[in-house]
Amino acid sequence: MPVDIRRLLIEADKPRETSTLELTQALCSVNGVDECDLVVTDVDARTETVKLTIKGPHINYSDLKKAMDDNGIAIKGIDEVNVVKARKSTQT
Amino acid sequence: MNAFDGALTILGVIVGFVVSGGGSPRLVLSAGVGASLAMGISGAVGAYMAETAERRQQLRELENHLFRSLEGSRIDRAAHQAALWVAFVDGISPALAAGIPIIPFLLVLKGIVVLQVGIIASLILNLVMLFILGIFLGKVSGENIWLRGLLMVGAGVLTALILLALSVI
Repeated sequence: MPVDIRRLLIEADKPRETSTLELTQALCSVNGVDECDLVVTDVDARTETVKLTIKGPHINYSDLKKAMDDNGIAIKGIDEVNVVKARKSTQT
Repeated sequence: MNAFDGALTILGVIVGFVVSGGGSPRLVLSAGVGASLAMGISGAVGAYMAETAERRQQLRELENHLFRSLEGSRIDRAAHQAALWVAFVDGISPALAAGIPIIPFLLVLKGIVVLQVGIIASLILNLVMLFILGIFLGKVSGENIWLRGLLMVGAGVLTALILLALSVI
């Protein structure tokens, strides 16, 4: 049964060199993503821990993961997920 | 600072040409172009090797913090591009700093100016380049730009004086 990922709350580490603005813009450009919130929760010498809230009608997780990899993001865990049964018009 | 090396090296070539009793301006041009090219290649290759090694080490440290490989990521690509740019700047700067002051010798060779004028113009060009370099470094470091410029010119004059003193011996 096809499903759509509507919302993800991801905890991740990012290099301090990676700009939060550029990162959120890159993630928001991913197929099926409408909104991206970022909160820095911890700061280390070389890295920052961030909580990312990704929202969209049908988030393409593999594209999202690719965009995160490209920006040097290390996913620590997916804390929350919202998935809905896909309607035909929104299937990817 | 590679530009400083280039300017001083060519100053040495010009002063050496003068104290040796002169000769064909082709000598200065050949030696100057050879030195510019060698310094350009040496600067570019040396800077590229040093930069890539240092940036690779920084990337490995970051990878250890993130517990993941960053190969092929934007950071990896940016580090490689930065190393290439540093190599380009480190290669072109000594070549330019050494190449510009020998332009008057080209004019001498073409018969546009006489040798004495060419030598003086070349030395002035060299000192002007050192002064501009000093101003630039002063601006970057936020120090007195005129003092930095004069210090650079002083280094050039000192080099020329030492070479002249050595020629007497």
